[in-house]
Amino acid sequence: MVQADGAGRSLPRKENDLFKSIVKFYETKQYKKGLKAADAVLRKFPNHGETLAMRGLVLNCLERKAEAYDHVKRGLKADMRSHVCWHVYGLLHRSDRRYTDAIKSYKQALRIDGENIQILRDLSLLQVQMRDRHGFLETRKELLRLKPNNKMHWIAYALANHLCDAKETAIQVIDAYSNSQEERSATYEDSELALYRNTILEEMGRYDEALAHLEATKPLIVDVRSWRERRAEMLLYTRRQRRRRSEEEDDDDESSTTSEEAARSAWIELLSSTEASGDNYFYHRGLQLAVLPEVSAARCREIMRTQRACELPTDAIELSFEQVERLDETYASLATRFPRGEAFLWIPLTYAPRGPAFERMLDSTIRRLTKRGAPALGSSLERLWEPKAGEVVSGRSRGREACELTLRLADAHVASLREKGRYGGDPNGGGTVLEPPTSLLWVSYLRAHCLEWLGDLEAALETIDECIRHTPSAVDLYEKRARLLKRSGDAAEAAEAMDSARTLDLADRYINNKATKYLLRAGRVADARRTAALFTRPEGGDSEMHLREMQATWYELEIGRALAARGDVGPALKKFVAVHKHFADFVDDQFDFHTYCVRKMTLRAYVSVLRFEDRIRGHAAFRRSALAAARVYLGLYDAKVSETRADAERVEPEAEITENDAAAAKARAKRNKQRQRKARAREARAAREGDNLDAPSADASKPKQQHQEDDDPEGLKLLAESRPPLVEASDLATQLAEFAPSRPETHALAFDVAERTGKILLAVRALSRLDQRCVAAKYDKLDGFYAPEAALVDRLSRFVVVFGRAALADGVVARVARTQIARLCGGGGDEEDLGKLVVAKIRAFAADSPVLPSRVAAATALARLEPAATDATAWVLDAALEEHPSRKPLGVKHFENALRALKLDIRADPETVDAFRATAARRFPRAPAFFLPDDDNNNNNKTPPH
Amino acid sequence: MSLSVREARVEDLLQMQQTNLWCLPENYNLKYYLYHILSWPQLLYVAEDHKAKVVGYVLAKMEEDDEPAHGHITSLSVLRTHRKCGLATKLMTSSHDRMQECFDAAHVALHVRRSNRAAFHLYSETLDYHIRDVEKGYYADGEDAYDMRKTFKLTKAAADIVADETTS
Repeated sequence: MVQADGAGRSLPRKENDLFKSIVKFYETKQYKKGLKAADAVLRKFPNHGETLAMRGLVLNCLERKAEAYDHVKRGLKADMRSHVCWHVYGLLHRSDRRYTDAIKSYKQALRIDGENIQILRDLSLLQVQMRDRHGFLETRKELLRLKPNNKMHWIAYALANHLCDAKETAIQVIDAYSNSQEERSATYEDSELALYRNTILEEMGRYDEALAHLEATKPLIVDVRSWRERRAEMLLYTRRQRRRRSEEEDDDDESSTTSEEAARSAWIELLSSTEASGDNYFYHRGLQLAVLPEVSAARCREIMRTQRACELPTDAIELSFEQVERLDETYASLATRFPRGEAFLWIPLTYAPRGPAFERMLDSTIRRLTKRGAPALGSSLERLWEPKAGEVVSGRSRGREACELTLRLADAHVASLREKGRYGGDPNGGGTVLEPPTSLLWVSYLRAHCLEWLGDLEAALETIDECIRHTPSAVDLYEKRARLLKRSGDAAEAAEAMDSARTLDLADRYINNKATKYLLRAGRVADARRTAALFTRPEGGDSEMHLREMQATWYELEIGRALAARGDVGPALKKFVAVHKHFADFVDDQFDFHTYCVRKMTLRAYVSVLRFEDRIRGHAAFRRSALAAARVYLGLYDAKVSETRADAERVEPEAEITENDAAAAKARAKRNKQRQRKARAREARAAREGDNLDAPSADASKPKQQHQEDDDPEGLKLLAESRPPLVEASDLATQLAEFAPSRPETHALAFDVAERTGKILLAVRALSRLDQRCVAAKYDKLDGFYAPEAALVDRLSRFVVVFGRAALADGVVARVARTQIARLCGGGGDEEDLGKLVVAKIRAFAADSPVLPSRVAAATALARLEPAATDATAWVLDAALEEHPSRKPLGVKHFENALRALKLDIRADPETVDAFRATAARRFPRAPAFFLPDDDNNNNNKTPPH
Repeated sequence: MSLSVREARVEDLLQMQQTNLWCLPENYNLKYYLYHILSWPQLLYVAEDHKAKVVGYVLAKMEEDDEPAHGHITSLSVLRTHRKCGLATKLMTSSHDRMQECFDAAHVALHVRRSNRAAFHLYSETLDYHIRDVEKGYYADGEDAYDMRKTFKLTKAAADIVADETTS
C-alpha cells in the first residue's frame, strides 16, 4: 500500500525492511507486531515521519485515538513532503467519518504522487460517498487512463458518467468495454450490465432504442424476469409512440394493433408466469394500460412511475362502459385460467361502477375471504371506504356508502350463518354443506371493522365481545378489542386489554410489540420496557441497548414520545438522538459498497441505493424524531423563559397541562439522579455483544460493531453537552427543510423556531411555505394539526402577536413582511393593520371549514387576537363533527384537543366548556377526558349507559 | 385483496427492517439488508398493502462459495394481521424462482425454530422442504433449529453437462 521512498526519508536497509513490515502488519491486522516494528525503527530514527504516521495508524486500529492523532500529526510535521504521511492522515480522518478532511489529505498526497493508484482509489470512494460527482468522475477518468486494462475501471467510469448525468458517455463507455470483451456469454455479470445499460436508455427517454437493445441482448440475459418486465414496459411506451406517429401520418393502423397485442400478451405472460406473479400490482398497472390503448404514452409513463403499492390506472382514469367491459373480460379470463390468483378477482371490484354488479362482487368477495379467515379483509376494503385524493369516485361506490353496504351484506350473512349455518342469499340455495364455525366468526369480525370505521365504537365492541364468546382463543379478537378501546379514548383500558391479548400467545412478537406500544400510549413506561425486553436476547444484557443496536426506530420513537409526554426530557431526547444516529449510520453504511457493487456488477441496485441514500432523511422515522426532538427543545426554551419571568415577577408560574412540561422535567431529572447512578452500574454489568449478523461474507457486512455501553441513560450528559435549546431546535428545523420540504409540519416548525428567535423574515418565509403546502391539504396525524391551513391560521395569529409591531416599522424588512402577510391573508385590505387582515382570514377559514379541528384552530387564533370576541366559542360548539358526510367520523383525539383548547386557549366560560364536554362524552362515553371532573365514580364506570 | 407481492426495492428496506422487528426475535442492522439487496437484488420480495405498508417480506441470499451454489433464506415474516392470505408462500416461491433463474441454485436451505410449528408446516408441507439436520442451540436463546432444504429441479449447469453427454 505504501512505499518509503523519496529524498530525506530513506532509511538504512534494516530499518527500511522494518518499515515495510509495519505496513504488512497493518494490512494483516497484526497491530501488536506493527507497533513493535515501528518502535524498532523509531529507536534509531525518532523523527522518521512515515514511521511515526504508520505507528499512529496502527494505534488508531487499537482504539488509542488520541495517541494516534498525535503520532500522525508529528509524522506529518517531520515529513510534509511525504505522500505516505498525507495518505495516512486521510485514512485516519476517514476512520472517524470526517470525509471532507480525508479528501483534503488525499488530495495533498496526490499533489506529491499524482499517479498513486491506491490513493486515487481511496479518494474516489470518498468522493462518491460525499456525492462530489464531478470529482468522482475526474478521479475515475484518471484511474482508467492509468490502468485501462482493469475491467473495474471501465465500469466505474461508466457509472461515474451516469451519476454526472452524462448518460450518453456512460452508454459509450459500456459499449467500448463490451466490445473489448472477447467472448460474452450469459453470465450474471453480463446480464446485469446489459440491463443496467437498458435502464440508462430508458432514463434518456429512448424507448424504441431500449426495446431494440433488449431484443439484441436477449441471449446474454440470465435475469429473464427483469428482462421481460423491461420489455413489457417499453412496449407500453413505444407502442403509443408508433400509434401517434401512424395517426399523424394517417398510416394504416396495422403495426400499432400488433404491438398493442404484443404489449398485452407481454403483461399477461408476466402475470401468469408463476403463482405469485398474479398478485404483483406493477404488472396489473401494465396490463390495464395495455388494455386501455386510449391512454397516451406520457400518461402511461407517469402512471407507471408515480403509482405505487396497490394503486391502479383505473383508480385515476374515468372509464367508459365499453372500457369496463374490456377490463372485465380480461380479468374474467385470467381468473378462469388461474383460479388461485386473488388479484384477478379483487381488482374488478375496485373499478366497478356503482350498482347491482358491484354489490354482487362485493358480496362474493366477503364470502370468499371470510371463509378463508383472512383478518385483513376489512382493512383491505378500506381502499374503497377511504379513496385517496385524486382518485375517481364519481359513479363508483365509495366512502361511507361502501362501508355501509359492506355492513349490510355482513349483517345478512351473520344472521343466516347463525340461523342456517350457511351464508345468506345464496342463489343456488346454499347446498347442504354447512359452513365451519369460523365463517361466522370472520364475518362478525368484518362487521366489527365496519362499525369501527363508521364510528359506532360501542356496537363494534359488542360485536367483538360476541366473537370472543364464540372463539375465546383467537388473539386477533382481543387485539381488535384493545384497538376499539383505544379509539374510544380509554388508553388505560386499551393497554390492559392489549396486554392480556399478549398473554394468549407469548411466542408472538407482534402482539408483544402491540402491548408495548399500548402501554407506552397509556404512559406506563416501566411496564412497556419490561414487555419489550421479553423479546430482546436474554444474554444481550440491557434490552434498550439491544433495541438500539438493532435500530428499532419504531420503539425509540414511541418510548421517546411517552417520556416526553411525562416530562422526562433527557431520556426522551436520548431516544430521538438515537434515531438520528441510526440515520447517520444508514448513510455511512453505503461506504463499503462503492467498490463491492462494481465488482458484483449489481449496478442497477447500487444506483438506486445512492439515490435512496440522498433522500433517506426524508423518511418518516427521521422526520418524526426530528420533529419530536425539536418540540422538546422548544419546550425547554419556553420553560426557561417563563422561569426567568416568574423569578422576576415573583409569581408562581401558571399550572398548564402541556405535554412537554420542561420545568417539572428538570426537577424530576434531579430526583432521578439516584436512580440513574444505579442504572449506570447496571449498564456497566451488561454483557457486551456483537451484532448478530448471520455471518455475512467478508466483503460487505464486515464491521462487527463494538457494543458500547450507555453511560448516560437519563440523558443528563446529553442535555449538558447540547447547545442552547433554540440552537438545537433551529438546527433540526433546517434539516427538515432540506430533507422534507414538502411536509407542512416542516414549515410549521420553522415558524415556531423563528417566532422564538425573533427573526421576522424567517417567520414570513415559513408561513408562505406553509401556505404553499395548503394546496395539497391533507389530514396529518403527525404533528397533531388537522390540516396545513389550520396550522397556518394559528401561526398567522401568533405572527401578529410576536411581530405585529416590528412589521409596522420603517424599512425594507418590515415592508416585505407586511406585504407577504397581507398576501397570505388573501390580498387587499390595509397592510398597515395586519391584525385586522389576519382576523378576517381567520373568520373566512372558520366559515369555509366548519369541521371541528379547523374550528378549534380558528377559535384559538381568534381568541389570541381578540380575547373579547364571542364567536370563537360558538365556532367550536357549532362545528361539524364529521369531516365530510361521506367520510370517516373524527377520532377522539380531535375532541380531546378541542376540550383542552376551549379551557386553556380560548378560555371559554364554564357552561360552554361543559356543553362541549357533554357532546364529546355522548360520542365517547368511555373516554376519561370527558368524564365530569368532580364525579369520581364516573371514572370507574367502565360500562357506559346506552 | 389490496396486497401486492413484488420484488423489493431499496426504498423498502427500512420498512422490511421494522417489519422484521415486529415479527421475529432475530434482527439485523440495515447494512445487512443493504448487503442482501446489493448482492442478490432479485431474491428479496415484499408484500405491501394499499397504504404502502410492508406487511411481509423475504430476505434471501446465495451461498456462492459453496459447491454447488445454493440459496439460503435469511429471514421471512408476515405480520399477524395479514395471515391466511397465502403471502408467505407467495414470497417464498417468488424468491425460489429467481434463485434458479438468476443464480442457477441447486437447492435452497433455511433454519427454523423447532417450536415454530406454523413455519415448519409451511416449509415441509406447502413448500416441500426436508429436514437435513438438527442444529443444537442454534438460536441465541438456546433453542434448536431444523436445518431444512428444498432441492430444485436440474440446474442449468447440470443440464448442460447432461446435454453434452447425450450428444457426444
